[in-house]
Amino acid sequence: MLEFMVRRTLNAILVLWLVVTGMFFLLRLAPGSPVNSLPPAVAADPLARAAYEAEHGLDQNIFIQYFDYLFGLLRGDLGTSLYDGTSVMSQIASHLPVSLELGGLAALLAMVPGFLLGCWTATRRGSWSDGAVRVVTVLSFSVPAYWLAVLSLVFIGQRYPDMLPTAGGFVRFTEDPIANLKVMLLPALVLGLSTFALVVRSIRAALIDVLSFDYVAFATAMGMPQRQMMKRIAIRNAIIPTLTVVGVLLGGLVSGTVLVESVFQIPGLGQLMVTAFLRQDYPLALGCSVFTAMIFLGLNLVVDALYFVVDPRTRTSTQRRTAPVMA
Amino acid sequence: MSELTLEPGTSTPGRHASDDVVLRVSDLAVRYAAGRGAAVTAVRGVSFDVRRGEVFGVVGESGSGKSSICNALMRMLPNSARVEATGVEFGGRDLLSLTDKQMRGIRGTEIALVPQRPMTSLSPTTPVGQQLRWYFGDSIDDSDVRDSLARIGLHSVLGRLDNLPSRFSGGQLQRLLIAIATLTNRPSLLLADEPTTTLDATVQAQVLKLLLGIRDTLGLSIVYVSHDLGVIAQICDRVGVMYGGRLVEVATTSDLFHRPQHPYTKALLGAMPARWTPERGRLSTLRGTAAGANRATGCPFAPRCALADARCTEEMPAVLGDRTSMVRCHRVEEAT
Ligand SMILES: Nc1ncnc2c1ncn2[C@@H]1O[C@H](COP(=O)(O)OP(=O)(O)OP(=O)(O)O)[C@@H](O)[C@H]1O
Ligand SMILES: [Mg+2]
Repeated sequence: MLEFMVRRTLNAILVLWLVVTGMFFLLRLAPGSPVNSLPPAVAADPLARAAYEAEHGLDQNIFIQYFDYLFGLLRGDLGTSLYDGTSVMSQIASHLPVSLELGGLAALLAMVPGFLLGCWTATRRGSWSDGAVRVVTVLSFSVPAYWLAVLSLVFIGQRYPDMLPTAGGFVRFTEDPIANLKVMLLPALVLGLSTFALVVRSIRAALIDVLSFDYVAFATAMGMPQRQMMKRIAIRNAIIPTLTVVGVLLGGLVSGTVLVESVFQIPGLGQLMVTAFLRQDYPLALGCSVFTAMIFLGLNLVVDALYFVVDPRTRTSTQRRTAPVMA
Repeated sequence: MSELTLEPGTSTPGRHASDDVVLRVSDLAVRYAAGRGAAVTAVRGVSFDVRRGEVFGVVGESGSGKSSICNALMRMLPNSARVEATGVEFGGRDLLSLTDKQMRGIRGTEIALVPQRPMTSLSPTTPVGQQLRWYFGDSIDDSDVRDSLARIGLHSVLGRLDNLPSRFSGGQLQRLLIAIATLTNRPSLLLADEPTTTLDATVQAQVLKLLLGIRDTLGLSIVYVSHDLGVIAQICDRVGVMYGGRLVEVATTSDLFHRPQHPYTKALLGAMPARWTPERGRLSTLRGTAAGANRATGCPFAPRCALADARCTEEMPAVLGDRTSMVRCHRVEEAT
């Protein structure tokens, strides 16, 4: 198990490196330059331009810049923003918690009710309530998130304006938890809706599968009450295939924050990243990408580790694999 | 196959003879909905008794409806299935008219089931010891319960209770399942639906011995389902022969093997590899298949029967005999 997790972690680090390298060169190769987004007085004056480029090391060989960046990254130094000279790390530190809150809230609102509803409909297969849930879930994941975001902005925002984090009026959780949750609720619901629907569908499918297995029939034949059977046997085994889906869905939530933050004007990492890219603020854009990739990979590692918790077979099978080596 | 004898008498019919009937099935029918209003009839007109301490065998080829009977008795058929019967009496109650709640009280307590596939019948993600605790409760810690488990060869299992089911062999698991089914609540009826088909011959013999031993000590009745006549011969007191969803013959094991009546029973015996001797020449096989037999209006075996005439295909033969031994065949009827 330990060996497996170490391998997975090394894998994640390799992927992270590939992301950094890819993003670094793609940004530099893209047409345009950060200088263009500077005030016209600087942007139009060749001398001022050169001075600016020299100051930020943009005139150096691209590979030297690359290795500079990489070594800085290893020391935890993400550089400074080309736009306003602030430290990239401090920018991320102020925006990341907002995104984590949004993503976490969306995950919570999607996974918990999704799980419960999925279990409930699986035991009621073919009934009208199962059919109703099916219609709702199909609608939920076929509605595009951006459309839903704009729609809720227009309709709900008009009627209940204090549900919206209108520009500049965003309150942090640490300042006023109630007001913060109020404005986060709508974006989190929009972000989590399709995840919710897919959780319902996948746990339902997995449970229906498991309910047809021999071990459920034996427990029923032994007179085990349905509730106990669901808890001890059916759900326990149905969670395993669902976990894979959950891993993918969590990744979807991470990328979904970019869109939802832009539409709802939430000052999170996603919004920061979009602005950074628009301004061709290389260090900030890269820093945001690195963090997004880290969250993504970190979540996958957590899901991998969860397999060991919910499926004891994986524990024994890796033991078995290592046993002959030690013998 | 060395441990398998074909001679009936390993268990003597009538050893537990007393006429109290534990299970009385009358005119049982099972139908499955097959989409767009169509239905598949899996079982019809099946009647038999099982007496206390008796092992009643049900034999028949694949698809003849054996499992459907077991699941109907347990009331564990899928939602698509419909069960009808004049009566399924068990311990003075009609199983089919009980509420779901009453039926749950009977499952595992008064009627238990030994599953066909031991390897997949315990939850794969929970250690065996924990699962034993679900069924035995805290009495699993009692020394007499442990003793009885050890006595049926579960020593090694008791030593590794923290292991998952996948770490044990099919034979160990089947013995464990039989122990759970019979020892937790001491049921009076055990349904065994091909409990040894996935096991090899030696392990199969051990499991059969175990079942008979438990029958003797607890005096329970067993409905033993199999398509293997060799196994049936070893452990059953009486046997019912199924074909196309119908019970075509019921007889004591000794009568069935020495004086088979129904042409299908005869064909079945003739096709047994163990009965084959070089002098007999080719192993006899049945021509045709059983496809469609469950829809036949007449005798389900008629299309494959050498003795069949027009009447056989049109009219289902009446029951000749009583609940303890009977045959349904026009030819036998005419001969008597
Ligand atoms: N869930 C179901 N839906 C529809 N038809 C079914 C279902 N289960 C069984 N049948 C049909 O009912 C008939 C009897 O099946 P059953 O499983 O009782 O046979 P069996 O004698 O136990 O066979 P085997 O020896 O292969 O286990 C078969 O024709 C089968 O196709
Ligand atoms: Mg069967």
